[in-house]
Amino acid sequence: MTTLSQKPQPLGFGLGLRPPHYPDILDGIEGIDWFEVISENYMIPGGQPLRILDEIRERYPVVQHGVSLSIASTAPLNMDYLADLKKLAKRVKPRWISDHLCWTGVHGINLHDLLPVPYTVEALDHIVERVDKVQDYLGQRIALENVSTYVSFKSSEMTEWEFLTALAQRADCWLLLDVNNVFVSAFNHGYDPHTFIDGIPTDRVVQFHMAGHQDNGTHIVDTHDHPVRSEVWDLYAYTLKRFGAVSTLLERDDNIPDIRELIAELDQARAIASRLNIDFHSAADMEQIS
Amino acid sequence: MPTLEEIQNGFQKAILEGDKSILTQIPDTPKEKNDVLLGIYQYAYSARLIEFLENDYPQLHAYLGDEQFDQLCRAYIAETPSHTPNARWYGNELPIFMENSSIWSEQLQLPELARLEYSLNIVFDASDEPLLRLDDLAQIPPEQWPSLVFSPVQATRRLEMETNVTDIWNALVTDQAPPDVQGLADPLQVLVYRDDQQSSFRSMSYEEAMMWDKMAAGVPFGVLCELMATWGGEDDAAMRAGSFLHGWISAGLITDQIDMTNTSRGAP
Repeated sequence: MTTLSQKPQPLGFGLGLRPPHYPDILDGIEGIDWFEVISENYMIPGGQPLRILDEIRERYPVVQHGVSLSIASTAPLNMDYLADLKKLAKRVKPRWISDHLCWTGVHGINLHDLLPVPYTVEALDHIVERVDKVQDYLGQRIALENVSTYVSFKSSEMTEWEFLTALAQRADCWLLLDVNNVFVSAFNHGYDPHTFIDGIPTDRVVQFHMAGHQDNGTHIVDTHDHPVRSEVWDLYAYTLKRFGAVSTLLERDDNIPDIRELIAELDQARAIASRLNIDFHSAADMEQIS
Repeated sequence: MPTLEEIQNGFQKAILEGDKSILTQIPDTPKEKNDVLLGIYQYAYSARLIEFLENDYPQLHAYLGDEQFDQLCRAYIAETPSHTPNARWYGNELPIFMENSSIWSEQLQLPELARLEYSLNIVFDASDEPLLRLDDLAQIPPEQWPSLVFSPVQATRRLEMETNVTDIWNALVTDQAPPDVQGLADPLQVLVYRDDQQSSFRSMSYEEAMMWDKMAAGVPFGVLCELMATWGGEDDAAMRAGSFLHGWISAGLITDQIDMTNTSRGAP
């Protein structure tokens, strides 16, 4: 394992890699510093997707982001899945590998959703043990992301941010802080999102996620099909002030627009960082030198 | 206090079976009732799986229309919970599901369309393998040829279609009205393959299809030539077999893994 002082340097402002954008990316469109790939999309035998990924990773830093690790499940870890994940990582050599603090199913079934966890001591012990096993198997730290939740559990014994902090410290893993998910969950459960941000240790966060959501009045759903909302940009600014330069990634999974629209959104993030005098470039330059 | 396992069992039951017992563990939020919030997960489950099927079967979707495709998806989902961590594989069983369903196999072109789209998907991201080159063959002494066993690449699938489903697919993919369905007197022999990183398919003559199938089953080249004589006449049988093989190698359909040790001369 690396030490905390070896936390990955910020990569700047990146996009989730999506197939409709392949041609523009391969044509060398400017304005994207790095890409995040959904691991499962490339956990396939071969063909064009892997070839394109090979080309992109030659030109850009890439990180892997999974949706099916199911780290919080009480079902056994899926070792076939982990073997495929490790095989892909060997090919891609990602800057880091992330997934979500959630479970996706039990009894051999995958519900293909990021399902909520009760914030109990029992759950914490269980997940810490599994993160330890996964990190040992992969030979590297993983980053875990806070998910948007629509329900909570009466049995929870701590807040989500207390749970994430304890998990990161005990399992010695990184955190991927999804700023939109903080906003969504805070609205849905009626707490102040700033309290969440303030409760997360700065030395554990290697990445931010930004995305759009759908406001249904009584609750918000994390849909990734809209531009980032202004309230979430405000929370991003607050988060940047606390954490400084952290690799920032814009996600869009539905209603995927022309890549130039997404680059314009990335420029909004850049403008916020610039206004706050947070310098991503010098950190990235330092990484290239090292 | 319920255990983590009990909560997960209860939550999964709510999603798969609609059993809402887990609600006793879920508080209302300041603005919404717990059953509405649980319903977000219940709705998302089928919506997400339908989206996977829409991605994998776009022409079947276009052919059936939204309403019927939605019915098909919901019937499939009800019988087929996902056991794969990868959304890419969830729809793999749809053709079999349709073939085994009295409702969805009643119109034969429907499972055939599903089978064709499934095959196109499978070859698209099948393994990349080292290919046999015509130059490689020139290095093999003529006396060894009868015992050579060739292997097709994994990015190929063979189909036999009993309807004009390929015409239907060709119309749908170019946004034209599909032709009326027609049953074929002789099944159409189809090869699905990958060409320049894209999935494609073409028809084959009966003779070419039979030779392909026997080759894929591991029959040595010498026996293939004998079978060609049986299927299409003795004249030029070896030349016809060589011509098909030449075409397949040129199209990148044969791996470089040639079994040269096979000494069997018996009929398959």
